[in-house]
Amino acid sequence: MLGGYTAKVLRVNLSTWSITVEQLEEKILRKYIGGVGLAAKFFLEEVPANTDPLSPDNMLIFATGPLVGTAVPTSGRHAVVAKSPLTGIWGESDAGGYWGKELKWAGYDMLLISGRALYPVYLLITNEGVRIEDASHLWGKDTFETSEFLTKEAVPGGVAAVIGPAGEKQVKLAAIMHDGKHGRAAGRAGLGAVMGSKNLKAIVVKGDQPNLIAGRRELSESIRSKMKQIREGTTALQKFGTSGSVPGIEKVGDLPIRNWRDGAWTEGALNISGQKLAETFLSGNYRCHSCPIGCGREVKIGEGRFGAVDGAGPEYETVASLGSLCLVDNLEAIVYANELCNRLGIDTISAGSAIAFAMEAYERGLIGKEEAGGLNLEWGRAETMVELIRQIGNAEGLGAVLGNGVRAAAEKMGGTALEFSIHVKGLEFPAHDPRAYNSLALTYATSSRGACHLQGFSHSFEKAVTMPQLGYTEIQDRFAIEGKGAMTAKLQDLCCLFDSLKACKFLLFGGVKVEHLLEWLNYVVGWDMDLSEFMLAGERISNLKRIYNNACGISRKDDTLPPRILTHKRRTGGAAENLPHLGMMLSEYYQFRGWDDEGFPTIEKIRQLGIEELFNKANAQ
Amino acid sequence: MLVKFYPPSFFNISSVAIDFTGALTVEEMLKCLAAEDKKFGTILPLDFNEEEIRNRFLVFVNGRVAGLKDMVSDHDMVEIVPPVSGG
Repeated sequence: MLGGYTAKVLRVNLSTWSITVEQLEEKILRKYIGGVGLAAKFFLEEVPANTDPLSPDNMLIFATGPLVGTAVPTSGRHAVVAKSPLTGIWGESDAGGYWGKELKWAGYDMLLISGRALYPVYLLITNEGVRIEDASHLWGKDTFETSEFLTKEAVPGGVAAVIGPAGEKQVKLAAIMHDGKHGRAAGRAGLGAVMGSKNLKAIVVKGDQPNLIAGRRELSESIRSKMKQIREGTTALQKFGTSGSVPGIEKVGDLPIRNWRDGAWTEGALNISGQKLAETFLSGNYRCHSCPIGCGREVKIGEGRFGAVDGAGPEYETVASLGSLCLVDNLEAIVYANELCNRLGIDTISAGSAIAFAMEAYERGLIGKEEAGGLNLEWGRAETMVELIRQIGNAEGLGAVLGNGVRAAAEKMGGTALEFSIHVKGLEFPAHDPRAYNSLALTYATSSRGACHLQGFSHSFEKAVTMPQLGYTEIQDRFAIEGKGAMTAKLQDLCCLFDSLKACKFLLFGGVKVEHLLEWLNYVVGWDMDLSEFMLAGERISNLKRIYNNACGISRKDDTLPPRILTHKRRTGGAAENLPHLGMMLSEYYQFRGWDDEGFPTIEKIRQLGIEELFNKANAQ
Repeated sequence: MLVKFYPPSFFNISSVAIDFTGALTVEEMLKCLAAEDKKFGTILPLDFNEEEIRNRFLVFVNGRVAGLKDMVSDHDMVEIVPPVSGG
């Protein structure tokens, strides 16, 4: 018996209105695991690198992993993959909540969507069948309203993945939102715009068939033996959420401040922290399926200065991107802006980055009063930040420019704007400063979707985490250079496994190691995979994504960081004088990966990973 | 030595004074701190290593993150700060 998987792929073509189900072979599952791994396999086979991301030919993939729907801690996640309209390369995002578990329990490991519907539709997926329904009456509604209708009236008890007005208008910062007002976002890389380009307003799922588990008793015992440590190691996350770390992050010089110019903002950091949130607007905690941590926040504001709020609270990435990055220390404004982003369906990270970019452009005279539409874009203006989010989500005014991302906005503005548009490969930085952790610089430069801390999570190993099985028995020196290439590559492979099993990387803070993940996979599925096969799968997935990006034109020239990050010392804060030596680390990284000097996997590496066929397909296209 | 907790709301402790002269390792200092303050005693695990501590809080000595084996002397400025995991 194969546990964990349903071994079924649901394929929907919205142009032809066809719905088919395909069976997955065990050898394919074992080779690509699930989640982003399996998505990468299908993507390389079927989506040519020259595909227009907003055309019917792009494929939008929702993928669970073998752990999703089980009792494995934090396994309530799923991946979303498409060619990104924001970056023009591999686009990947993931979300927590309950949607992935419902898809699995409805009978599918993956959902592949291609084509474009003639009018707005939504997909309805249950154990009884799959239907495409008219969504014309939902078009124009925000994500909360849409989700409320679908999960209360259309499919009571279901869970919906939806786009808001931003996705409908194909704003390149558009997110796909899940779980209604709980606001679980697949935010990065503009995948909401891909969904909008397909005229697909929502996907509502409801499943009632739990996964089979091959070694149920062994799995239960193994989980039980780790649970105390997971709970104790993540106490801070439970108590104050991810934004509880803001004061510490500011102190070590990791907080992005004033569009990545400053190194310290002590009072401001306290004002936007999880501790402040707990004293003011917090109404409860939220936890994803099978999560013992519960880092999610719920907030409520009755009648505030900006308006009422009742939903998900801002995460660390949000308070930093909309707060410190723009010098906004008004927590009420951030809480409201977060909900506005969730309702409109916008990535809070990229939105905050775009607003900070606009504030700097205004300061430098590249945006005048006319372009600003009368808005005062001085640093720290909470009302301006909120208004720009409204404009981005509705593709209006200055927001229509910012909604294309900072790279496109800077290219349009010209002049010195390119100097302070902070992105890698078109994806705006998440809210961790790579001058505070050297490996993070390399992780950002080489991650498959552009600047991303979650595709390597390497900075965690420079602050709090060890992984003896991968050779890291001690917490690494954050300012060291040597060895960071190999470390980043290994941890990216590890993160590919997290993203393919679908488990949350916060497990690492609870003492979970790679061997525990492998043990749980084997107990769930009934395999006897060893660590070398497991890590090889992670490396295979990393390389598949690279091959796709290479076919899109990505090479060493793109594996870099903005000039500000490479050359600008901040002079204050916990990492005041450090600059990452990217070139040295990058060369070590390529060498360790078995890539050539320009960042292309060698033929020997491709053979070793057993992906010749996919490599040839990607390059034939 | 006065050990400050920053921000106090995170720990429900603002500061704790401990008496010693000369120097201690950070590990020893934490044990003294737990003995002095019961609230901190509930935060500090009975047995701990560097990783377990870093996921609970950071120890700053004179503005720099300190490890368990680092030395701290009675005139140093010591702060206990929330962990930087998460986000």
